[in-house]
Amino acid sequence: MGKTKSNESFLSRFKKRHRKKGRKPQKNQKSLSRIIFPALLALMLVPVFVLAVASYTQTTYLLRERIEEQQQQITRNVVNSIANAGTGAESSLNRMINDGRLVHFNQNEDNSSVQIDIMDRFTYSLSGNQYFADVYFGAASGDIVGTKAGINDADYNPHEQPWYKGALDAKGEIHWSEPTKDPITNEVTVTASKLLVSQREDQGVMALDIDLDALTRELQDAEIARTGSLMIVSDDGVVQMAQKPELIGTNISDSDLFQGTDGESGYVKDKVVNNGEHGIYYETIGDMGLTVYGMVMEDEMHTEQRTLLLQSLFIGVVWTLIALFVAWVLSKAILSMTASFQNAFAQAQAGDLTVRLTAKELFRSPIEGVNKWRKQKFSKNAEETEEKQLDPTGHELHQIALSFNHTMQTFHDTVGGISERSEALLEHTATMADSSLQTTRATEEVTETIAGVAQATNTQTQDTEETAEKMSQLSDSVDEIEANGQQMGVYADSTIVANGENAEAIQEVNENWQRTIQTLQELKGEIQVVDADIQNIEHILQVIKGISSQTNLLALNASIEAARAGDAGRGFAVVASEIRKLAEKSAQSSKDIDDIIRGIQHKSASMVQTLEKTDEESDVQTAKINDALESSGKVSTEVEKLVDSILAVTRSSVLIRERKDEVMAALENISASAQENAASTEEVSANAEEIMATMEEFQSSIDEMKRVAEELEESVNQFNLKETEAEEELPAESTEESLAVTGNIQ
Amino acid sequence: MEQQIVFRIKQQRFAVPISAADKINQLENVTQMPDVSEYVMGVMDVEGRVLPVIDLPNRLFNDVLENAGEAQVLIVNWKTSRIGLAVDEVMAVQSFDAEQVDQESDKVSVIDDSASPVSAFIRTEDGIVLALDINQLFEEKGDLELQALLEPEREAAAVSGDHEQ
Repeated sequence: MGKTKSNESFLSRFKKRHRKKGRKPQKNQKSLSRIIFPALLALMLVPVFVLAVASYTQTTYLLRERIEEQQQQITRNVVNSIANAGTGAESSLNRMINDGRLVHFNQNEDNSSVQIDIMDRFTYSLSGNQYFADVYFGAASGDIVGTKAGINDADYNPHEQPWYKGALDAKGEIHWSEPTKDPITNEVTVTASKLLVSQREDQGVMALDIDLDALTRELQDAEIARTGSLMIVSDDGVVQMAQKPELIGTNISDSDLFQGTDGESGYVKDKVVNNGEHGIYYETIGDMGLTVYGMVMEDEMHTEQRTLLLQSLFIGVVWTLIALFVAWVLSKAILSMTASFQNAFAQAQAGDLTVRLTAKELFRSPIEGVNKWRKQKFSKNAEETEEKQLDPTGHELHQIALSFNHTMQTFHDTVGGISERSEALLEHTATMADSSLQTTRATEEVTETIAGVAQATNTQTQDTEETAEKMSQLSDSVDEIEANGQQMGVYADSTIVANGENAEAIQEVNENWQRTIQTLQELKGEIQVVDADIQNIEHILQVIKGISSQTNLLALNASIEAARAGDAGRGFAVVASEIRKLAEKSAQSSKDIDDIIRGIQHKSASMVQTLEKTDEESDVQTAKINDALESSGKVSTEVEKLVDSILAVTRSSVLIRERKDEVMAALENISASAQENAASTEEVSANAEEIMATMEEFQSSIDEMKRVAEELEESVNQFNLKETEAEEELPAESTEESLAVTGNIQ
Repeated sequence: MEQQIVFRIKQQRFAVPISAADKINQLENVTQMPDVSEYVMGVMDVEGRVLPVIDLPNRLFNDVLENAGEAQVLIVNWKTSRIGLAVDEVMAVQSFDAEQVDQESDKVSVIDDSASPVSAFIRTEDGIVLALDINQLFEEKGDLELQALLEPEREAAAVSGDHEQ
């Protein structure tokens, strides 16, 4: 069924295609242009776009990094400066603290000269470093000397000052104070102070002010990128110095900026400052308790970003335009190529198998100008214009067109071949129809036969069952036989006994009988004697009878003569009649005697007969008695044989039982076989039915095939084959595909 | 009615007039004759004369004599001569009343249109006695046959001058 279906569907599809005379592009027909155009476009645009985005991103990233680095660098510079200042301060401090004059200052009340010396020293050291603001020394005695303004005021007590106390606490280490704003000078300074101990006594504290403002100026000069600024914050969160003046003095201890600082240096993000756009670099100057922040504003990169964006945009637009144009041109070109192929194929579909592609057809630019130019260019070879050959060594399109032409040729030849073959097919289908018919008939016969076999098998099964039953019965019978046999055995025994008794009895009888015979023989002898006597009487009687009869006769004759004599003889007649009467009486008497004698003779004869009979019978009897004896002997023998037979029967019955079991098994086998047979015959029957069904299908398939062959022929005839030219062509790639597209149906 | 000689064949009794009878003998010494009718037993010598002997049972009933050894021959007058009729037994000389007699002269033999040898029926206590007419015993052919047998005898009789009936 499946094959038929697929054949059908194939044919119907084929037909459907065939019937459409030419394929006009449907309204909803998809076109490659939808794919090519966007594809090319995408192909050209996407990389550029990607590139632009990537570059933008990358640049942004690099810029950011650079900014941060710059932050770091500048900040670090500042920090270094500060640190250097700090280090310088420390070393100065350490150097200066070793000046003995300080001790002297402390210990001596009158120390104006020392004081001047010290001042010179201080001034000198100040000049060495721009950051140093003041140097001064607060003696333990309470005096103070230094460059710092206001230290000589009466209300300025050095011992009260944090730099002094701190130094004391530091016990010889350098103490750094918080940045403080000098009330007098308004300068923000950080003081490094150190305790001077000499001769195991606190002599005083040496202090050095570092001018944070100077640092601030430096700071101010520092430029981080475009929008960057620096900030120096003390440990308590107060902004000591900043390039943005408004920040100075504010406390930012709550800000992310301040709280995010963790460690000596690093980056921290702060939303307030720059919206978290850029990481803010910080570095702490631990000694001084300062943290320097280098930050940039969020719009730091905006300029660059904008520039980049504009550039990209510009390039993008331009490139898109270019891409559109190129894509359009290319897609059109491709479509024209495909169109020409489509065209050729459509013509082929319409049935024109003589269609062939030419080089001219291959490529039509969407731009008419190009076409005209090409025409112009190629029109130099005017003769060939109409029939531009496809170059066998040409590019892929040529190859495709060549293949197409070749294919068409092949198809053309094939269809021609099909036409021939479809005829042959028709013949074959006829033959097949016959064959299938025969097969069907044969199968019907088989079915009948199988039905018969099934029947027979059925019968066989029935017979088997019957046989089984009979075997069962046989078994029962055998059992009976056995039982009977045993019974017979018992009887046989009693028979033997009886027989023995019998034999004895017969023997007795025999003896009696012999005696009887003896007696009879004697009797017979006597009778014979009597018989002889009677014979004598008989003789005599015969004589008398003769006489009487003769007398009678005479009397009669006498009567006759008397009658003849008439009257004279009447008396004689009477006498004669009397004589006759006498004769009659005599005759009668003799007759009576005769009768008696007869009777006696009869009796004696019968007696003799009887005796003879008895004799015979006695012989018979004797024989019979002998027979009886023999018989009883035989009986004995026979009974023994019988007993043997009974035993044999018993054995046989056992055997029979065994055989019966075997037979039963065999019967079961037969039954099973019969069932198998039945199943097989059913299978065969089913198979035959299947075959029949299959044959029917086959038959219908053949009919279908016939129909198909006819349709095929019909279909083939719809093709346009140019027979003569087709035969001239040779099917090879190098062939001159010189057939132009002719007779287009479309 | 004149006295009759009564004889029997088997159990059937017959009667012939005593005047017709000549003699009674035992059936013996019968000489067989060739080419004769079946009922002709042969010939026998009676007092120097050769007489044909008729097997009466055969002639009348197609039967046979009871006992050829004890059969008797009744010699009777026939035509101008005598013949012997072999019978089983000559029983008696008897006379019957006229009442007992049924004449048969009118009855004709059923078979062959000739006259029946039975001339009358005599009713007795012991049954019916058939009165035979000897001259009607045989057909013409039979008569001739017997006569042929008797020819030489008749000549002899003519010669010797015996008395006639």
